[in-house]
Parts: sequence; structure tokens; C-alpha cells
Amino acid sequence: MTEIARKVCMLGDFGVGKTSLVARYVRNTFSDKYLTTVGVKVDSRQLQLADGAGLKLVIWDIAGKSVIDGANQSYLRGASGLILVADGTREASLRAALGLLMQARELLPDPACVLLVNKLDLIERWEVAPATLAEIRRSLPVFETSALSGDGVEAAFAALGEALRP
Amino acid sequence: MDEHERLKQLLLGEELAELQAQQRRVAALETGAAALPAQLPELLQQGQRGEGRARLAQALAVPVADALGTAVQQQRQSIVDALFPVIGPAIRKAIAESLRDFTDTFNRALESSFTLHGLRWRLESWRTGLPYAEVVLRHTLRFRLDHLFLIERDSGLVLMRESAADLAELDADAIAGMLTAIGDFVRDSVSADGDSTLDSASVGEHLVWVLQGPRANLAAFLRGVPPPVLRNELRRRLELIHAELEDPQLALQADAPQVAAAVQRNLRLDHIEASLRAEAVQQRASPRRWPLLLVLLAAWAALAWWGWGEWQWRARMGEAERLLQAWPGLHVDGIAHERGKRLRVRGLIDADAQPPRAALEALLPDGVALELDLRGYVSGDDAVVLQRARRQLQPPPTVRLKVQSGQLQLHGDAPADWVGQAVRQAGWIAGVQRVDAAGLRAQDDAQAPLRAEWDQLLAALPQQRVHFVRDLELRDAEELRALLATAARLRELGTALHRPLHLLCRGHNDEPGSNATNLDLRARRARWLCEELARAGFAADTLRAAPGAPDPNLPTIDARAATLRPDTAAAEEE
Ligand SMILES: Nc1nc2c(ncn2[C@@H]2O[C@H](COP(=O)(O)OP(=O)(O)OP(=O)(O)O)[C@@H](O)[C@H]2O)c(=O)[nH]1
Ligand SMILES: [Mg+2]
Repeated sequence: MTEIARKVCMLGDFGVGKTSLVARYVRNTFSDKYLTTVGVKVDSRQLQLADGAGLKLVIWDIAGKSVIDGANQSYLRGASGLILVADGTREASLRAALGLLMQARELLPDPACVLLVNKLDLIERWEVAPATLAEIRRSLPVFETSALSGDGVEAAFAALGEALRP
Repeated sequence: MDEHERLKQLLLGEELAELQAQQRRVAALETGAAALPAQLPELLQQGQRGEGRARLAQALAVPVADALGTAVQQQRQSIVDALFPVIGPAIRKAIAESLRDFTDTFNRALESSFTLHGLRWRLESWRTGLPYAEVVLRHTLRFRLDHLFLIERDSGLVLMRESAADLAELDADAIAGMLTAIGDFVRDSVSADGDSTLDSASVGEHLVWVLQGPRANLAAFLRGVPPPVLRNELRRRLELIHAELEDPQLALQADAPQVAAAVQRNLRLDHIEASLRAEAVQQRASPRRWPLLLVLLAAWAALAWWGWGEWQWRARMGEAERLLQAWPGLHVDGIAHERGKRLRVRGLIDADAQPPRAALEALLPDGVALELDLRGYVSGDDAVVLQRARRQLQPPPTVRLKVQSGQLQLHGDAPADWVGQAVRQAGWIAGVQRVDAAGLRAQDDAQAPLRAEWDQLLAALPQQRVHFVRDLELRDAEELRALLATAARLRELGTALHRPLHLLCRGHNDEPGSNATNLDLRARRARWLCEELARAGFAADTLRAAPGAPDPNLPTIDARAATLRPDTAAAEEE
């Protein structure tokens, strides 16, 4: 019997740092070069849950878009978890992330979700108000992360893993 | 869904309130109808009772057919998915059935023309001792199945995987995910109708086959050149898996181990190779044994034919050699031959030996050149000596000749004179060492009295005188006539007996007179007698005149005479 695996999709506007977050989480690397993702890139990482059980996250890093169109739609199929990513320095990217969540919920039965507000290392340039985040936290786990420094990344993925526990 | 609602509130606010008001209105309208769906199954069941069943069926026939039609149009995929495990095998079976006939005839055509491949593989099978089917497989199954991933169709997650041993570990999930993503991408963006899917991809010597199923796909990672039957086999296995797999995710959870085991069994690489092998053996081995037999048979027949020809030729040559060795008067130095073309004999042959050509030609097949290189010699072979003796002795038919170890035997009756001659001559024949004439009897034949008369007349001849009174004056003419008669008779007998007659004429006289006168007279008398004989028809070369010696014993008067006697000197000369 193979280990338990779950499909997780990275959703968010372009340039918010989805690919960087996956690189940080899976390979613990970071690059400040921006190579926009075309289509999709799949990675995986084994995760140790709090109770000691193992879970494998198969992470689909999808090209950034503010809406879900035909192509993205098929990439979402069979996903059990969603990682919504917003760029703290661009308020619009947060609205896009929430919009994407709404759309995804129409397509997926009951996905586990976390919202990552990225580029925490640039906190001084953040447009997203803490009040807004507090409001969102009432309906959704929200993590403030930095792919550059790695802050919050492990915790965010771990939280999603717990939510996906079989 | 409280947090969901709050989230919507946050984003959409007023629009949402408006929407909720509309929804409440719609809900109020629908309450009446809402009860109907709940009651519908119950009502349908009631409707089926008794006669109602037929009516219900009738009533539903058209809408159900329409619904099916619509479903096929609009939700083709779900219908195809539902039928997938049933339709696949059925179609393949039908196709396989019709293909088999074609393949059979095709195979037969192929087998009758022995391909170089086939022969080489058979040779290899014969050389290595491996079964032919195994060798064929080695050459036709030149591929390697590295990995098999059973991938859940929607999520792209690996449900189950099988990998060949000794391969480096790889991130199966990521690969399967990418494969699924690419498949989705291809379907969504490349194929116009959305039906075509990614079937295979290749990178260098690596090849990925993706077989689509309604709930799970099978990805095969290969190297080399896989046979098309492999795809069929994988498809068959994917169908078997689907029969087991109701809900792929659930089935592979810990609570259904036997399902997982069944699925796993269908993915075993060694099982797949075994099935391929079995199929290949079935296809190749059994119907293709006879060409080998035919080849062997042909080879054997050719060999047998050649061997038979060779054997026959050798037998003939042996026979010819025996014949030549035993051939009388022939000494063989060497025999050379080239099968079916020529026979060359070198040696010596006696002039009296039979030429062996005819006998040899009778022995040889047509078209074989016969070269005889024979030089002459005198043979001591009994048969040749016999031949030579026959030629030289000219025996009458009543005499049999035999030569054994150089001894010539003469047997039978023969004229006495031949007997005498033969006995004298026989010892001189080349190759005759001894003569045994004990069995030869002189014949008492019609010529015996002639011979007796001849002998008698010849013996008495010198005594028959022709007397003279004086000189050449005859005392009695009758005497001359008598002598001539005797001579004529002798000549007659000589002819009959094949005995040459040579006569010596002699003159005689008494003493008176000088010696010279007497000698002259004797010569004249001898000549006179020869002349008389010649006049009587005797050939001059059979006559000789010689003066006789004085004969003191005779009375004088009787001495004046001429006599005749056989001329032994002339006979000897002849
Ligand atoms: N300072 C800082 N830069 C970041 C961080 N995360 C990403 N970046 C930078 O942001 C840019 C875009 O990052 P990506 O990870 O490629 O963004 P993306 O969401 O994958 O973009 P698309 O693939 O186009 O959708 C890159 O130049 C990154 O270096 C972060 O946490 N801090
Ligand atoms: Mg990216």
C-alpha cells in the first residue's frame, strides 16, 4: 500500500510568490529572479503530522491568474487542499486570492484552505491592513510568510497538512 | 458554512443581500413543488403494480429514450465512463476475432516465404538450445518496462506503482502530477474536440505511454521498442483494475486490502511480461514449427539425393575398376574420374585383348566421357594367350583350346596334318610355357588313303625309271608315260592334302666314256625329264634338274635312265 498523498493547489495572482514558496518548502531555496510559471509545475513533499503519521503533499504550482479559466479549472480537479497566496505589498492580490477561493469552492466539494500573505520581509511596504487580515482570519487560517526568509512557510504547509489528515 | 457567508459579506455586501431576498421569494414559490421529488420514487413504485407496469413503461419509453439521447449528447463522458469496463473488452474481442483470420492468412503467406529473420532465429535457437519462441521474444521484445503508475484521473495522484528493480528512486507523485497536468493541457488546449488525449510521449530512448481510464490512468515508462501488443495488454489490465476499483481513493485505503492486492497483481511487471510471452509463444511457436521441418526435410532430401548419386557413382566406379582389373590382356596403371563427367583409364593393352570400351560404356551413365589411354604390350594373361593361340593355330571347330597358368591344352579330334603342325607350332606362341596335347587325337578321315597313296607313290618314285637305249633314245615310251602319270597323280594328291610337290629330275648312265661325257649325258637326261614334265603341265619352279651319281650296282643297260624324286631341298626352302 502506498503512503497517503493529497493534491494541493497553489492559487494566487501572478508574481505573488507561489513558485518561490514551493521552492522554499520543498527544496529550501530562494531566488529573486522572477520566472513566471507557464501552465503548471508539480512537486511533492513528505510531511510529518503532529500525531506522527505521514502525509504526502503533491503540490501543483499553477500559473498565476486572478480568475479561474478553463485551463486552471482542470488543474484543480481532484485537489483536496488549496493554498491561496497573496502579496502583502499588493492589496489587489488579496482580493484576487479571495475571488479565486470563491471560484474554487464552486468546483471542489470541500477543500481545505489556507491563505498565505507573502513577502513578509517587505512588511514596511505592505498595503494590506491588519484589520482586513483579522476579518479574514475568522473564516480562514491566514499565515504571513516570506519565501525569502522562510518565515511562516513551514507552519502554513503544516497547518494545511493537519487539515488534510485522513 | 458560516465563515463562507461572512467572507461573501465582506466582498459582495449589498449584492448579496439583494440576492438573498430574491432567493427567499423563489423558495416560497417552490415550496409547493418541493414535496413532489420526495414523493416521486414512491409514486413510481405504486405505478408499477399490476397492469400499471406496462403503462408506465410505455409512458416512459419516449422520454427515457430522449433522456438517453440527450445524455449521450451532453454527458457523453459519463456514459462512456460507465460503459468503459464493458465496452472495451467487447470491442477488442470483436476486432481481435476479425484480425485473427487476417493474421492467419498473413502468417501463412509469411511462413511460406522463409524470412531471413526467421531462419536466423531458428539457427540461433538450434545453436543455443533455447526454444524458438524464446529466441523470437528476445528479438521482438526488445524493450524494458521501467515503471507503471496507476494514476488517479482527477488528482493526478499515484494510486499504485510498480517499478523494475535496480532503478534510481524518483518522485513518482510529481511525475504523475506533471503527466496529468500535461494531459489536461493537451486535452484543453491542443485537441479541438476535447476528446483526444495524451497517449504517449518520448524523450530520447525513454517512452511514456498513458492509457486513459474513466477513474484512473495507467502510465507506463518504457525503454526500447515495445511491441504493439504491450499496449493491448496494458489496456486489458487497466480494464481489470477498473472492474475492481469503485472509488479509487477509497479502495486503496487501509480498509480494502484485497482490492489493493488485486490491483497490484494487475500491475506486476513480471506478470505482464509473462502474458506477452505467452501470447507471442501462442502466435509464433505452434504454427511456425512446420517451416523448420520443411527446411530440414528439404535439406535432408538434398543430402540424401546427393549421397545417393555419390553412392551410385562410387558403386559404378568400383564396378568399372573391378571390370578393368579383371579384363584379360589389360594392365591398369590408374583410374581417374569426375562424378557424372568423365572416366579416364591409363594402362597397357595386348593386341589380342578385347577392347574394354564397349563394356565400360555400357556401365557408365549417359553423358560421361570415357577416355582410354592404353599402350600396347604382350600379355601373359591366360585369356589373351588363348586368344593368341587361336589366332596362330587356327584350330578346326572340333578342337578346344584352353590356357591355364601358361599351359596350353589342346583337346579334340583334328586332321592329322593339322595335329602335327599344331604340336610343332604351339610351343612358339608367346605366353605359352608348356603344351599339353595328350587330348588331341589325329582324325581317320577321307584324306587318310590319299596320304597313304601319297606316301607310297613318293616312296616308290625313285625306283620308277625311264630307260634309254642310248643317248636320249627311249627304250620303251610306255615308261615315260607311266612316270608322268605317277607324277601327275602325286601332284593331284599334293593339292588335295595341301602338300607342295617339288620334283628333282635326275639323269643316270653307265661307265663307258669319259667322265665329262657321262656327266654331260646325265645332265642332259635330267633336263630332258624336266622338259618332259614341264610339257606335261608342271610348273617350272617346282622342277629341278640334277645329274645323278653313277650307280655301280646296276647292270649297265639299266643304268641308262632318268629318275624322279621329291626335291627335299626345295620343300625345306619353302
Ligand atoms: N522580497 C521577497 N520577494 C519575493 C518573495 N516571494 C517571491 N518573491 C519574489 O517575487 C517574484 C515573483 O515570485 P514568484 O514565486 O515567481 O511568483 P509566482 O506567484 O510564482 O508568479 P507566477 O508564476 O507568475 O504566477 C520573484 O522575483 C521573487 O523573487 C518574498 O517572500 N520576499
Ligand atoms: Mg510561479
